[in-house]
Amino acid sequence: MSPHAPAAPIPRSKETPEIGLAEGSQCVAQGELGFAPVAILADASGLVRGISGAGTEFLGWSVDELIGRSLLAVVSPPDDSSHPPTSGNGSEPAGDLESEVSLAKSLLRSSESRPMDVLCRTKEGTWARAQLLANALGPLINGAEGYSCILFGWVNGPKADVHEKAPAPTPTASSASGYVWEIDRDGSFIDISEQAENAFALPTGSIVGFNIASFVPKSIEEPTRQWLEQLVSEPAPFRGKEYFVHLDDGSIRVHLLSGKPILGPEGDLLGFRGTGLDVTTERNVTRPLQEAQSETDKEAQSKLRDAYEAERRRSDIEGRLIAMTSHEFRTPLAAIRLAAELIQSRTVDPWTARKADTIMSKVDFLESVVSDVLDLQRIRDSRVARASKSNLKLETLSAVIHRVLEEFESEADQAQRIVLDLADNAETLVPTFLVSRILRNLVENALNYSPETSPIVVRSSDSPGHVEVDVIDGGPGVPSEDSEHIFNEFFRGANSTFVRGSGLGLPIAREAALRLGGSLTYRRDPGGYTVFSLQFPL
Amino acid sequence: MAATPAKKRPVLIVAEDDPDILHNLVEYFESLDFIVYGVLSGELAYEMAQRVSPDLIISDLIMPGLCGLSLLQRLAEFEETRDVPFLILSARVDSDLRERARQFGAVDFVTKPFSLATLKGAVESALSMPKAQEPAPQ
Repeated sequence: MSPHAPAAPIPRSKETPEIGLAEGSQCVAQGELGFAPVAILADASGLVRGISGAGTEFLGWSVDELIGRSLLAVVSPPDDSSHPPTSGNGSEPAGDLESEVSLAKSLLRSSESRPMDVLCRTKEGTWARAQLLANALGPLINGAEGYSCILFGWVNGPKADVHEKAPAPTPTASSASGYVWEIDRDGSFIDISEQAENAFALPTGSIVGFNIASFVPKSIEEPTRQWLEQLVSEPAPFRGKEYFVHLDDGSIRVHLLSGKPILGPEGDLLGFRGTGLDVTTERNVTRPLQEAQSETDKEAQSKLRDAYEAERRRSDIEGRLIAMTSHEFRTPLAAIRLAAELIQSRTVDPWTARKADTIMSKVDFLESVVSDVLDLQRIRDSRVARASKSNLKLETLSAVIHRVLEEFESEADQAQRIVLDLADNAETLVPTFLVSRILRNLVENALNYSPETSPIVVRSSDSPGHVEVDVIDGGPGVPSEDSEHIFNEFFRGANSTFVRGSGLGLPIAREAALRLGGSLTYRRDPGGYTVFSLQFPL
Repeated sequence: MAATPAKKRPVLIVAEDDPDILHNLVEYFESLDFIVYGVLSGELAYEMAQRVSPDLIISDLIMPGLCGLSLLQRLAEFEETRDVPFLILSARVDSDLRERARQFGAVDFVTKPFSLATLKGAVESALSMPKAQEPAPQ
């Protein structure tokens, strides 16, 4: 990795020490920095030998001791004359720090993850250049006040040598991960940087939208909510708030949160934003796993942990891939569709218009597949299941059904085929997202697979303690050889040749039904009707 | 093309970090007789909004640097730009994000990929909204 050339020149020290963090290791420092990120040079034994900015307080410390520590104290403001950018050998001209600050600011504003050269003062009093990798930084606080950021590793000097000499990265150094977050005034994550995926063991898409209190262990959910309420009633900056995250494997991670209120134009509170840092290993809360009593236990635990780690990695990769599918596919699809539509609008040639139409139609199909894959992932995510008990939006069954049917109103002849037969329990509150996703798929299937003249009945039954909704159509139903496969992903039945679909509609509906604690079944009524029946407990 | 010679041509800023989408959107809205300023970042959109008094801003949500919501928030700080209708284009589909965008003052949220008819409808509807936000009812 060659150093990234900075936009503004930074004088290179003639005597660059051969020091640096071992490649692959990370040191994460957290702080509300007035002007600059901090780079630290460590020697092969992990001791801090150099530090950017003018602070020297942490020279000689172990990098492990800096994990999670606010480095505010070691950064001096750019105009602080008490810390002039001079040093023992005087090899750097005055104004170096200013250049550094200017670069740091531009990096912070860019919100990109890219390397930047910074000057570090070494323990020996000389200056050295270090390469700083800053991730997901952004102007989190009003520009006039400064920035809040998370800092990651850097290396300097001949890395191969350092790497050979350096001990293996310590678990602390490699496991700590910082992230940037934003919540609304109700405590729901509006945004979170991708580094949080490690700290939460979840893709960011499964964090955004959920309440900050929904990730903590049940026993401290209430205190966490009270803390939030207190924060909203008296908005103020906070630092180092312990935040316990309950992972799906049952383990608990400790994060330190620092943040500030986000105020609207009228001074009204919109939410909070800040940084988080996973300091679990440092706090050793994973002790139960590590404290196996006997060697046998240790071995078993180790195997368990390895298996869990492998599964978590697989799941992480899958989650990331799916998130990528959504965000990275949709933009190029938009570009293709837009270009094709412009071609179609400009051409007078019927052949060109037809081809453009094909492109648009295929883009629309791909978009629907992307949406379906995402929905399936979202429903499978245990966070939805957990949230469904307390955080998911609820509406009456009747409102959900009407909303779903409205989606088909643009095709009037289709909508006219739908007949509603709702029982009294249609006023029961049900989770909107899951129920509407099921019913939309069932109604769409019924419209697609039954004769255009045949009515479709959406019927809810009055069964105590349960919600039961049937979607009934007069079509030929599922061919018997296909009936056991219809809930399998990407399965396309023999009768689906002329019906466009991703093969995910019924799997999504079934998965959503399971998440509701219920079931989705298919049957052929003696009267010759096709019935998909959703049932779930209240 | 709907000719409206007597009317002032509406001024539109489009902020989108995908250059292909941006160029085509600029071309499209120019064909509809808009005066269009296409910019590749939120920062440029912010600067442009100070200079050209736009009638509407269409912005991508996730852009390097100043994102769509931050842009919206920053524009809301100034009287000259506070009431400019703001329409978000995004590849993100989460309903929470849509809600958040509305809370921040966005008038609409169009998901990528979109049809020109959908976008045009959203633009026409945004432009037909009353200029100034009425105070919320008590």
